Amino acid sequence: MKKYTAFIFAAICLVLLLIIPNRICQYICVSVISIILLSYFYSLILRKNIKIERSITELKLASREKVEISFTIKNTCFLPAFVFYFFDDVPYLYVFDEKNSGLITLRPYEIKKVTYTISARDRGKYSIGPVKVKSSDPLSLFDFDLEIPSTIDVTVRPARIKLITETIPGFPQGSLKIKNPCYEDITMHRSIREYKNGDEQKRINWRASAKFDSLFTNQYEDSYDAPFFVFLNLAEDDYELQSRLYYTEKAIEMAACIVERSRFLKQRCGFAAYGSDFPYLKPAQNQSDAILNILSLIKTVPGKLNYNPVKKLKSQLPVGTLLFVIGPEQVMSYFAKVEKNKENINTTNVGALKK
Amino acid sequence: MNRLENKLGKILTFTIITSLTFITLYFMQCIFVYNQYFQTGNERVLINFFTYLITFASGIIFAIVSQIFNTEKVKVAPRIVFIIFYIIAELFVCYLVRGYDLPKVLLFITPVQYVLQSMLFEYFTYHDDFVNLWEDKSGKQLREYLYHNNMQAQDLAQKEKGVQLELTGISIFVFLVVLLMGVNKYHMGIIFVLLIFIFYVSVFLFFYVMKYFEKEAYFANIGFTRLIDDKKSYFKYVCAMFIFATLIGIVCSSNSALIKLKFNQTVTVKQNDAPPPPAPEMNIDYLNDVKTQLEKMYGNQGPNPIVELILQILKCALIIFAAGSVLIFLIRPFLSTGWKNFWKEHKLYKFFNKLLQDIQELILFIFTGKKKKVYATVQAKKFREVVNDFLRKTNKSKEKKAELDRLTKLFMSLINWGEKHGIDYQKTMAPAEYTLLIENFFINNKDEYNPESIKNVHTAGELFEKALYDKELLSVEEEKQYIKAVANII
Repeated sequence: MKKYTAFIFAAICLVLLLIIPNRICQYICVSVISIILLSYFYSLILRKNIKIERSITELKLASREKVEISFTIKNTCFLPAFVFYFFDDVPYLYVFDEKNSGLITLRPYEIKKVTYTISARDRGKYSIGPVKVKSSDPLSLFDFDLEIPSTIDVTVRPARIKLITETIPGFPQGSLKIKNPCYEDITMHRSIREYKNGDEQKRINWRASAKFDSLFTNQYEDSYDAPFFVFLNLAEDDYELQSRLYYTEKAIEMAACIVERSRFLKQRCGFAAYGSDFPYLKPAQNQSDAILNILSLIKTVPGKLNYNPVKKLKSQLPVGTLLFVIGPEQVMSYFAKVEKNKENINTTNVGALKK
Repeated sequence: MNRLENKLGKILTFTIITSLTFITLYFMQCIFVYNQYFQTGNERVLINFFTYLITFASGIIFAIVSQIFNTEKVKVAPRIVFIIFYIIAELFVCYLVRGYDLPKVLLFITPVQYVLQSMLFEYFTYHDDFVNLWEDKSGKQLREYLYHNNMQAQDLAQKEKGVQLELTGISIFVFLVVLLMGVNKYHMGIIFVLLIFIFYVSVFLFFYVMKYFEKEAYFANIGFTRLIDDKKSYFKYVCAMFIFATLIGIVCSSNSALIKLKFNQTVTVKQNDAPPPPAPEMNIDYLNDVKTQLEKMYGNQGPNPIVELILQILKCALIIFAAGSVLIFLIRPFLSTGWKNFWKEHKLYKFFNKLLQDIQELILFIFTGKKKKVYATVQAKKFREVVNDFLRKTNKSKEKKAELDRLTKLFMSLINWGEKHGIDYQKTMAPAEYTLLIENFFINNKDEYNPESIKNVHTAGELFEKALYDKELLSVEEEKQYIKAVANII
């Protein structure tokens, strides 16, 4: 029954109630009006006391990765919602078992947690929500639909692929360990050893020596830093038409893999691309997230790469930076290795930039 | 699938139509008794206890027959044949019991009762057909199936409109009957008032069943089969709303109108002084003169015997044809394959068997209690407010607050677990008080939980209270012990 039909009915009953001098007729009219009003207020109270809460407002996941999304439905009033339908709008993402929608009964003061798993096929920026809710009073005279604006901004990053990125020593004193005394880092004390002829006096650990009544020399960690710089070529004309989309996506995935590796190794990472907006970021710490966000949204541009990125960037990047150029040749080389069923596919890099 | 609403609806159909016919009979009785126009003395239209009994029995028979007809998908013609034979049988029974005093009112009431009852019963058959279509499906499969096969849903929706119209019509009719009886100051006994009450309660519950079916169809189209888990609770709330509305009705109704309408009627009396005009003279001889003149002009035009014979033959043939058609119409259903198969396959016996089973199911459903499921409530969240209040009132260091924040989150998950197992948290409880309740729960359910659980609960409560009230932070081992204890319980 639509709302106005119920109210018209109530109005007619009210008019009849006022003019009919008969107890039974008045009783029928009052009962009808009371039922309609009770239903209306039931629906109104329920509508005002339904709350939806999410624990997160932002989500970052890799393409084809499964992630659990959850939200809580709360009924903060004493009235139950017997037929309660919820639907969390998840456009363009795949929802497993369609658990983002459901039909439940919400008892008085009940909290219900809804959890479902999603996966994205393509990278990009998406939005989950709002949550749409539909319920009514027990007599279904007054249905209500609510749209609760509880959204999650989802950034889908390029898919994770198996790609081994090996580092070449850039310059000494960093986060990466190496067994080469040329890269000794005197700020990172490792251990002490017995004094050997030829050891410098300034390296002697006098405290330990005094304690053990014998000379001991300090030993330091050998470490180096190798800043990463990834150049991504997304010029459309450099890729063959028939497999352009597939190859360019693979190139982006390779670039993302390298950037993630740099984050894992706690190395500075820079990025530049012949792609949409032509981004350029100099190597810096804690920049991986920003680069991955760029890679989530970057698109190809028409044209051809008509310069040598190595030559161009050599002068701009600090010495010791590992330069990775990802373009059509690198992608084809990757696919060739995949075809040969090679297990450990390495990235190729131009090498550490030298003066 | 449990089709309890269907069964309830069929019972309500019987009560609606039977109470409607009783109200109509009572109203007609009042008119015949009180209205001088109908009191001729010679003509008696009998409405007595026997009439009511016959109507009640007719209601039950029509309910059974309508269901059988709907199940066997019988067409309109056999239904008309049934009602004709039923009326003849009814009058024969009345003759056997009452002699020649036949209640003529039944000739009108019985067919109307049958038609109204059949229309309402048909609605449940349509619903059964619709539900049978998708009973074994759910989710995406159901959604896609109903998208491509929506004829039954459309039929059901159309039928529902018809039923809504019918119910609204008869409700208004009963209201008008009550109004007319009130205006004419006819006596309305307790039984009549009770009949009105039963009628309107049945109509209200019928509307509730229709709304349930409507929702069921709507959500089936989205892919959901199970509408409500706890139907009893749902029904209780509906009944509570009705009772509340009824109580308000009893309190607020009276025999005087709030707005009194007055009618001023003017009567004009005309006096006719002029004398009546004289009556015209009839010249009968004139007709004989015309006849003689026509005979002179055309000769003796007497009836042609051959034409007369042909006309007589045609007349007889038409009568025989009409009689034959009526006889064939009445007898044909008994010669059909459907009728033979019905008796061959003992369908009547199966029908009554199923009816008994349905009644048993309904009684069992009404009288068996269900264990109340416990669930997590918003009250559990108030624990955090309690802890935050406590922290605000006392001066705690940043590290202490961070520690309590971590421990409170785990304790809240313990409270959620407890609420799902029927251990309610109250805002005034201390943490150790609540863990003591959980300990008692484990002691009472030793078979289901291992003894380690009691120890874990005790540890969790003790350590949380220590963290809450002590100035010093818990040690790393103590915190790990607490986390492990809560994890083991949950």
